[in-house]
Amino acid sequence: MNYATKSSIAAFAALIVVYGGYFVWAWPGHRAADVLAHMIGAAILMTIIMVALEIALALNSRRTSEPAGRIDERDAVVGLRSARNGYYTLIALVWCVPFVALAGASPVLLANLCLGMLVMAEAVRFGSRIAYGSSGV
Amino acid sequence: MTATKVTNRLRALRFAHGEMTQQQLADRVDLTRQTIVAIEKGHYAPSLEAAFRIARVFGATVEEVFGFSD
Repeated sequence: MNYATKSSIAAFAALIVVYGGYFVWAWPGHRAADVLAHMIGAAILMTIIMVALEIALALNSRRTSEPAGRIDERDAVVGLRSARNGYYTLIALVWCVPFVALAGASPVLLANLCLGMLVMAEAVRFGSRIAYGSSGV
Repeated sequence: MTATKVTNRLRALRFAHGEMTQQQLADRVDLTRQTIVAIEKGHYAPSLEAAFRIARVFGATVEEVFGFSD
């Protein structure tokens, strides 16, 4: 398993844990100010966890012959195809927004819906990287 | 699992050239070991440039290293 795949697994796991926790909290519905505070908190927590995991992976890669961050042509293809899958997911989900908005959804629900779409798209992108990285493109 | 129609003799050629490891080949052609593994297993078809670099390591032509199965 190369550095890019390990990094994707770490990002995927962090995404599920942080935003899974956020959406479990957000599901019953809360005041806009609380939602905003938790959204920003989740983004900061995600950043801290990712920085910590990347540092741990980089330190671990020093013990192996695989330099951290090195990508070759296959990694580039995997990255491009994964980004394409994430983009398709985002485009498909974005179509929900006008319908939910016109149905009279609250700003809080719309904000969570948009965040959920981003999280889904990122999950598909990281998941695709893991799948392509292990089984081929 | 994705398979490519591009076949190869990498494994045989590596062993014929002093039992060269996948890592040694990867270092010589500027690819990662995982990419060499994927090429050998037929999960990834290398770019033309990479194919030429790999063939050059073994002193062979591209067609002696890689093939195409319909």
